[in-house]
Formats: sequence, C-alpha cells, structure tokens
Amino acid sequence: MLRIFLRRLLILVPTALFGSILIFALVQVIPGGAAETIAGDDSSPETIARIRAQLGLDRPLHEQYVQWLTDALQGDFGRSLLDNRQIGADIAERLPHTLELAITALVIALLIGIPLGIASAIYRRSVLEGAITSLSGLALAVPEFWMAMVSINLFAIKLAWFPATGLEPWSAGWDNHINSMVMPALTLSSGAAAVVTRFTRSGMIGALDSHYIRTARSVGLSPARIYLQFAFKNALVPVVTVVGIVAGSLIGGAVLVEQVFVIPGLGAMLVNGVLQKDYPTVQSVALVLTIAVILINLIVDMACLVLDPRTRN
Amino acid sequence: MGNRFRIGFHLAVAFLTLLAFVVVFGPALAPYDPLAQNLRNPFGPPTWVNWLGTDNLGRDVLTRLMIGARPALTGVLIAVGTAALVGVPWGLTAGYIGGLLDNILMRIADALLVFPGLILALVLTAVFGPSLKTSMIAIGFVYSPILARVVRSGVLVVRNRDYVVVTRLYGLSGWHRMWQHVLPNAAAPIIVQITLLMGLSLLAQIGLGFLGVGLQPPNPSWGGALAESFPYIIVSPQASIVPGVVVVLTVLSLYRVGDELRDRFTRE
Repeated sequence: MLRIFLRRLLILVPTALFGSILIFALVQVIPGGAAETIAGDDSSPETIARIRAQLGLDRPLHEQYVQWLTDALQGDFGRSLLDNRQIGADIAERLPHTLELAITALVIALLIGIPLGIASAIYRRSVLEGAITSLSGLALAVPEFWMAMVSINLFAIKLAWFPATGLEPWSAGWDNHINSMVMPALTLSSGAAAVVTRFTRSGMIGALDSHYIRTARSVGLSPARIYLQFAFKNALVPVVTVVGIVAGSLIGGAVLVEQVFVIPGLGAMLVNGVLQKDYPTVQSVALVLTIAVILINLIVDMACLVLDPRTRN
Repeated sequence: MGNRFRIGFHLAVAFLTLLAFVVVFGPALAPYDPLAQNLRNPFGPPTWVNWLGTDNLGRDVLTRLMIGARPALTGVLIAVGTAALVGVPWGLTAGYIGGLLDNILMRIADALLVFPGLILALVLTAVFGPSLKTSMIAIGFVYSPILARVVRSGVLVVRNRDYVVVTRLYGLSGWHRMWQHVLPNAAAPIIVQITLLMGLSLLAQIGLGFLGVGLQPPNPSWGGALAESFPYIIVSPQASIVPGVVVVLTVLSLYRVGDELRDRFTRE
C-alpha cells in the first residue's frame, strides 16, 4: 500500500512542479518586463532597477524559481504590490472559505449524483431516467455563476429564505453560517452533480449487465443487495476517478461563485490580482489552488486503491 | 421517447442555424446602435420598441446580444482551434508511434487534465492583459489533452486495419499515412468531442467575461452583459435573465448536436 502511495506521489509531484514552473515562467514573459509594467510608462531607470531588485528579478532565473518555490512552500509568498500586505497571511485567511465551499459542493454533488445515477441505471428506459438525463443535461449547460445570480433573485429576494450575499462566519452561529453557505454550495455543485450522475449511471449499467450480477440474480439474492453490494461497489471506481477531474472544475467554478456571493475567498483575491497586475499575488494564489487540486486528486487516487483491489497493480 | 429526442435535435439545429445567421448578419440586422445609451430608460421592460428591454445604461438588449454573438463564436473557434492544433497532433503521435513516446505523452496529458483551466486563463490574462484571444487560447490549451486522448484511442482502433497496412506497403511516408489515412477514419469521435468542447469553451468564455477578463466594455459580449447586470441584481433581477438564457440555449443545442452525432456514428 505504501509503495503504491509513493508511486502515485511520484506522478503527482512532477505535475505540481510542472504547474509551478508554468506559473513562475508566465510572469517572466510579461511583454515589456514585469518591473517596467509595474513601474508604469514614464518611470526612471532607477525606479525600475529598485523594483527589479525588490522582486529579485536581477538574479538568474533558476535561482529565482528555487527561491520562490522554497519560500512559498514555507508559507512565505512575499508581499502584495498593491498594499504591501503579507500574501501568505491573506491566503491563510481566505483559503478556508474557498476549500469549504469547494468541498461542500463536492459532497453535495456526490450526495445528489450517486443516488440519481443509480436510479437511472436501475429504471432504464423509464420516465424517471428520461427526467434525470434531461435534468443533468440542463445542469451541464447552465453556467454555475448565472444559476447563482438567478437563485439570489429567487430564493434571497423573492422568497427571502437565504441571505443574498456574504458569508456569515462560524462565530455568528453555526445556523447562520450554514444558511449563508447553502446557495453558494448548491449552485457550485450543480455541474459536478450532473457529471457524477452520468458516470454513476454508466458505471452501474456496465456492472448490471455483467455476468456476476446475472449469477447473483439467479441464486436469488435480494435486489437491494445486488444493486448496492455488488453493482454499486463496482460502479464506484469510475465515479471516484471522475471526482478528481471534477475537483479542478469545482475550484475554478468557486472563483466565479465566490464573486457572485461576495465570499472573501481566494477567488476574489486572484481576480483582483489579475485585474490590478499584482503578479506576486496572482502567482501565489494560482500555486496554492493548483496544489489544492493536486492534493484532492491524490486523496481520490488513494480512495480508489482502497475501494478496488484491481487498481493496485 | 426516441421521437422526443429527435424533436430536440431539430430544435437544436434550428437554434444554431439562427445563431449562425445572426453571427454573419447581426451587425446589419440589429435594430439599434449597440452603444447608444438612453439614461432615461435603464432596465426598461420588453416593449415593441425594445423587444428584450434595455440594460443598465438604457441600451437595447436585443441589439447587444446580436452583436455579441460574433465575439462569442470567435472565442469558441479560437479555443477549439487551439485545442485541435495542439491536441490532434499530440494524440496522433501518441497513438500512431506508441511505445515509450505514447507513455510519456499521455502522462503529460493526465497532468494537464488536472490543471484547473480557468486559473491558467486568469494567470495568462494577468500576463498579457485582458483580451478574448488570450483567455480563449489558454482555455483551448487546457482542453487539448481531452482531444489528444480521443484522437489517440481513435488511432489505436484503425492503425492496424488492412487499408492502413496497405499504405505502408506502398511506401507512403509516415506523416502522409497518419494525416491521409489514419486520421480521417478516426474522425467521428473527434468531431463529436469538438462539438462538446465548443459548449464547454463557451461556458468558460462567459465565466471569464463575467470576471471582466474577456472582451472589454463597452463592446457588447454575452459574458459582459451578465457582468454589467450583476451589480443591479437586486434592483433589476430580470436584466441578467435574457443573456443567461441565450447562453444556456446555445450550450444545450451544441451538446444535443454532439449527442446526435455520436449516436449516428456509433450506429454506423
């Protein structure tokens, strides 16, 4: 088990390094140079030189990269070009919101998608399956952030069930916190729920058509046992795999949904950084989000190994 | 049930045809100047004068949606074009040559698939400045491994078929064989995938436009229309509905056409 874990790590660490090099390199190729862009059009060579030294741009590239990465891994992301705040402190404050949103949405997507997928595989060619397929098709076509806007309109303004925007902290009472999390998490989960539904459905159909299910039926096992213990267990592996892919899109979607609900997560920080050309902030947030996605993938891989002995070889 | 799906397919084709018509003739057909403001009539309801109402600056919503169709399609084509330009040779090489190279190329594809596309697009925007072209090239690049995988598995199916082997006996060059004989016969799943990627990249484009890193205002764009209506969501909630519905219908139609093509190809 440990050996397999280490082997997975051997694939994911280069992925993370590749991502970090990409994020680092992109800022090096800023047309006209990073320091010049930051300093503005009519700045003196001295100012530019000072900014270059401040950013460490006067040193060789590989040295800069290693320095940047080792600092970042120790939580030192440098300072924002805009307000000189510690980027690491800002990230530490905001990351929990983004992770909470994305992970809650992932759990909701699994809680909705798996039962719907199982149901539509068991009741194949029924009205129920048609309804589930149409619904998941619609969910895949609706931008999550637009659904967020429409649900603010409907559930916050017209029905007043939930607060329109903002995230209540846990300190404001757990019920208030959860209440303010319902709409963001639900809207973010919609696309992922549809993907999970479809993968569960096709995994279940594949399993239900197999010989061992026919055997289980012929020896007279109860349908519930056949569906859940035999079919679903085998259908679960493709589902777990897709969770890894969905994780990336959930983190990306969270950036948008945070913007709609004015949640102080990493999304707002990243978008602000991009629009204000605050390169250190952009690099740091992108790096943290990429590592988060890769870690989720690692966890998913391990879950696969636990669930399916066949993947261990 | 089959019948109902057929109707869905025809509606999807009809909608996409209408859209294509608007993309080509939109600027000529649009009833008003897309930039003409009427500050006395912000968020006007649909009337005979403004069929879909007016936006926050009193501009005609229908006009802006019609003009915005062209950049929407351009963005999609840039993304899908990038994905094809990178992904097709990638998958073709991996599938046709195989062996260690295949292994390496597909591991890289796996690694890129993990990468969140929207974030790469945002980083690229920070570097090159906000523009439709930059963000859609980034999105296309992130989608390219999806296409590479599909191309590869298509190539694996046909590479050892007799007609491909015969071309080898005729002594045709490797590249010629790949492009002329292997790729066209593996084209069906690629076309299906491209249709689906068109839908995906439109969604990504709208999202980036909403964040303000796509086509810059005051140019009319679908994502921009959503971004502009958002601050007024409490005063005028209906303003965000129309552009969103247009996006959803477009993506639904693309997916529906993709499903239909897939069904037809698998039947053959």
